[in-house]
Amino acid sequence: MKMADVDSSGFQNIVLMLIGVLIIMLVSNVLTIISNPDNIKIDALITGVTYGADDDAEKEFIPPKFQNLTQDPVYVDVEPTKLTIYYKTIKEVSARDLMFEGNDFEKFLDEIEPNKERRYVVLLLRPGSAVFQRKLRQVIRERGIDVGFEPWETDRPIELEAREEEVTPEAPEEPEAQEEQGA
Amino acid sequence: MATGPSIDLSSFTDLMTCILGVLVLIILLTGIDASQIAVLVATPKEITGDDKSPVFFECRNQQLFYISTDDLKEAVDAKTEQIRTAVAGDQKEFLKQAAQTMLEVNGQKVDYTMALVGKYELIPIPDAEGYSFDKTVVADEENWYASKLATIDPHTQFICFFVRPDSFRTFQRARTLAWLKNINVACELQDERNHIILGPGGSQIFSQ
Repeated sequence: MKMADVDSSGFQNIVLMLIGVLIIMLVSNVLTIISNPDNIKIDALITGVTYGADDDAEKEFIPPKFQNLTQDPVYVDVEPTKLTIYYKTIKEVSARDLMFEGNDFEKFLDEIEPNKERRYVVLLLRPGSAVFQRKLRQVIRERGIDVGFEPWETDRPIELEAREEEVTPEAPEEPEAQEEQGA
Repeated sequence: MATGPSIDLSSFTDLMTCILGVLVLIILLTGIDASQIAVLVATPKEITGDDKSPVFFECRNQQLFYISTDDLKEAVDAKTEQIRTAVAGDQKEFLKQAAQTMLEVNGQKVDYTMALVGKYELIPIPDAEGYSFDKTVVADEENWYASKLATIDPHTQFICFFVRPDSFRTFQRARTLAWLKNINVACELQDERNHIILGPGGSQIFSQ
């Protein structure tokens, strides 16, 4: 049986052009993914600093000029009557405990102080913690440790990713590793 | 016209069509991935070494209020002149009237007697109307806040936001626009209703 000859060269041309366009789109997508700030390992990452979570403009990237890229953050969640330290482990310290010498917050600052060139403390300020955070800020400043602030809504969770423990001065023989935290 | 041997390109066409399908799939996947990239900003640290002077804004009721020390001084001077004229040089009467006087400046009540000694105690007026942002933040838009930003010199000034617990979102938007104009920002968390006191004897505010 003899079939009708169909010239498919026009279709092939269209398919080839489509493939070309799709490859360009693919390259564009891959470039966008590569330029993801996650991949360039910026520490002290806080989403929503420039945009709210449901803003339409959320996906626009604004090159932030004032962000601290030279030091690793250590987060402290400051609530009206207690604080939570996110450093190696999660430690809660009540405001009342801060009156006693050698409290967990002082111990934490003792640990940070030798590494203050590499680390800074980011206070996540919950509503109602205005007075408490001023005291904490003063204590941190007196130690010469750098500090940053971020207002943090009451119900907003803090999500952290931790890497391996950092090298402490007491254990110089261990391989160098950093702790990365991103909220 | 010369005719060559006919070549069956149907397999090649099938191949191309398959590749096309696979590419569409890959693009869909990478497109979804690319669109989910979060904008992450490293929290700036406090800068204690610079000598920039603060320009104050208050974020309250999801609105922005400008706190101008020049406006406050001007209002206090005008009131002083008004009372002085009214009491015709009577010191006692002046003090009596001063103690009863409260000023209203830019959505804030100002304690007049405190202002006379150089301290501005600002009491928020609950139903005062400030500036509120639209849903989306547009960098080059002409509005009240943009006009205020335009008057700030990034080299010698920074913005200090007094942030009330109900206005974190407003603060974030205002800060974004300030950063885009290269202006440093400081954040001073406030309680819901506490008074803001500006003047000597307080703690210094550093930019971030």
